[in-house]
Amino acid sequence: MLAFLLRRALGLVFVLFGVLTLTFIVGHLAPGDPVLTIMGQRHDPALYHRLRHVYGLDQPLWQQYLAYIGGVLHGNFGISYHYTDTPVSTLLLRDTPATLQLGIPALLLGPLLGVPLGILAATRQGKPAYTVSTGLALLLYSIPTFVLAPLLLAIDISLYNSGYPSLPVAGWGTLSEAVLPILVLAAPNVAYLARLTRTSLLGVLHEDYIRTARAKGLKGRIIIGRHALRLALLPVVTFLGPSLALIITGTFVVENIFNIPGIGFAVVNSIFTRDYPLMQALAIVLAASVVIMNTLTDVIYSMLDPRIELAA
Amino acid sequence: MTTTLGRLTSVLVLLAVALGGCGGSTQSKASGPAGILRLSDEGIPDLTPADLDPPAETLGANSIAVMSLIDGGLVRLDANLHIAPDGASSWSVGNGGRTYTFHIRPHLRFADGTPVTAADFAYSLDRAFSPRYAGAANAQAFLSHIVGGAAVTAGKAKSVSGVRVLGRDTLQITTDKPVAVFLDELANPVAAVVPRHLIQRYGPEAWTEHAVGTGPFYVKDLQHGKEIDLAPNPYYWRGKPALKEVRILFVQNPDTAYNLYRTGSLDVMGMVQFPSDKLAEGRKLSAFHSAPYLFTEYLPPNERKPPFNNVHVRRAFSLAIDRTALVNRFLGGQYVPANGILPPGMPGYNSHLRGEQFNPTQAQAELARAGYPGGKGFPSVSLSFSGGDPGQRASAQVLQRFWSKYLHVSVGLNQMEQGAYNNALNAENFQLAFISWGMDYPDPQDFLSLQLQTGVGNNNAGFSNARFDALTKQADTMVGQNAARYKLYRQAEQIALDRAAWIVLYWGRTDVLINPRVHGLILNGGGLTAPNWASVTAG
Repeated sequence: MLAFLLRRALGLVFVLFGVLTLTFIVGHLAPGDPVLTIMGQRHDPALYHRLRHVYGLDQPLWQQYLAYIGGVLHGNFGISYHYTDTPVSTLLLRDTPATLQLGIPALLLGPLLGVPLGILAATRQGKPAYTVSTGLALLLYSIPTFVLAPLLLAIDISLYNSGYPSLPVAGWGTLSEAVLPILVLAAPNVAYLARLTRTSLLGVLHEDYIRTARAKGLKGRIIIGRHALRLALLPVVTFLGPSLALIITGTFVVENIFNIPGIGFAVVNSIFTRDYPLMQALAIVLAASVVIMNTLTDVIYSMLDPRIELAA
Repeated sequence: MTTTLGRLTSVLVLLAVALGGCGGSTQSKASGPAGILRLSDEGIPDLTPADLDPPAETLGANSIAVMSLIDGGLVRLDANLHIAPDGASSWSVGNGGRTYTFHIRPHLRFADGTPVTAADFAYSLDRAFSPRYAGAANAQAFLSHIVGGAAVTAGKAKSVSGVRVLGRDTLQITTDKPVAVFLDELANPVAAVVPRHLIQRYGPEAWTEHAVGTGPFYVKDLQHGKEIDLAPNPYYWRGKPALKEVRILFVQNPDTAYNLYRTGSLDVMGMVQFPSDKLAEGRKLSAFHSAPYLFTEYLPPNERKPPFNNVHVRRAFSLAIDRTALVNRFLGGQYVPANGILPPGMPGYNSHLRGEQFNPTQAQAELARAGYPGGKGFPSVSLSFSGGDPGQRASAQVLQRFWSKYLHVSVGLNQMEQGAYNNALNAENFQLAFISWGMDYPDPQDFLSLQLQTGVGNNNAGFSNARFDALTKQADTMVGQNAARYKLYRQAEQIALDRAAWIVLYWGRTDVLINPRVHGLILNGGGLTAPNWASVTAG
């Protein structure tokens, strides 16, 4: 296990290096000039050249690249172009907590709600509970976040106007403010995992060893809980990686609509303002999360199915 | 779809519609914490320390909305956008309009009680020009005429030679030539007086978290990512404000601000940005207020290359645009159809302007005079715009339709990403493009001389007219003679319009919702403000 984790850590370093280089190249080659964006309406050639010098943008590209890599190795991600005088690390440290507080509960809610819903569907075929749960899953999976959020908000505002108890429409810090954003963010994951669990469980329930367990006289709940679920959850675990991707992209929309002070706004805005240092740092953060998530997935895999060995 | 699912969905939809219908006409409850004014600053997730530092801010309207409540300078703009005394109770101008001698109020203090003298103003101006803030370039944009400023920025001098402290309460500023708009430039937040003692105690960045100024309020608590809370300045020279607290929420998305207002969490929303998709609904509320905002959206036809080097082609394109239909039918009525360069509400605005009209017959005649009768033989041209701006995207398609319908010419649409678009404009690589110009200060010089004199940086179109230059250059130097100046600018504006230097489209508007429990706020060409913040009350 240790050797596996060490090898994965080394792989992570290479992935991050690759991400850094790629974002650097793409960011600098894209048309659009951060200095022009900073200057806004004002046109002053002398000032333009001075600013380019201040930000080191008049140096040859390879020199800028080396300077940047050197900085990163010392933990210095540079100073943001858009938020003048603010180190990128300050921005990241300030904004990441809210995104984590939003994203991690939403990520966990996926299997926590989705798997029981899927089990319900798999074991109640032919009954109304099956139709309701499958239908709900389809609905939640099809409605995009940027439609679901305003829909729920419209219902919420109507409740407020009619004098009924309602949830806050925006903000972050209290439990009641967290309900709607986390639900909206988790919805597609809950839905997909419900359907996945249902299909996977139905498949496993036809396996030989389940028939053996039934022949032995074991009750349904034990069959499912102890024997079937372990294997049925394998596809669910596989989905945790893409789950994270869904959560990350969903956070941008949810943070914007519910006014949550996370990194979503910084990510999207940094692209428009060509804020290279911030863009690159965020790409590293996202790449690292994906790699870590994939590693976690592999580890859980090996724990669930003794037949799977962690690759050397 | 099974019947159960179908029924479930229908119930949900009906529920949403029914409840939505119930809530539609309900007014925002006129209640909220007494004495506490809650506003939204739309479009930003947070204010960093630099955003509250007069020479360092780069966010524009989002920063200035907050800074204008904390900071004060020598002069300010009053409710009618005219220059009025602020920290300086009076001033005299001499030396051919180049030297201004300001008399600072003897008992002027910062919000923490520290006295403010002429030396503090001099310190603030030296600081504004220091190389550290060259990136934000605010002093360079607004105070460039002060003698010796550039030397400080270049590191060749420690203090601005054109700023002299003549006494405890007397400050003298010299400009390089007579500049009629100099006081307007001085009213800009970059020239605000900053507390040297706090900067020395907390450092050049962190001091803003405890910012005090000579404005009506000071910083009580800056909650990053959430809001900034301001307390009334007991030493405000116009009297201690009646409000107990002002809370300004940072809201990324204007729709969210609208929702917060409708659920009673805000008293005022829209001062920076009002959600265009909520205009139709918001207009029905009695709390809705709207006024022209000093900004003009226009197309600069690139005169350096054919076919727009021909004035008849330019005039044809301008006459073929039905601006009223464009704004009211296609842009949701969120702007004001423009017929001139200077927007209404601008001092010097010409209400009798014979400006841009919609006249398809005359448009066709102009095109014929240019050598393309009925659009025959007209070369292919394109309209460049930024894909990130929904207003420009919508307008571009409508304009394309107008030109096709009334001139029988086909104009290609060149949608670009914002950064790429800025590059193209800078490189003069366009035939038609969209530009919005929002005022730096309320003076015609900002929309005329700064934009259309031969060779100036903002002159994207490459417009050049000797008479226009002569009129505006003369008006630029007529210090203290606004009535006479405005006449010259109006003549210049007419020339620019006759030559179709700008194909103007529409002017801006400020749309806000103000809870009826709030009194003392108004809208003028600069947006939301108060004739006197000391008298503003809430509940």
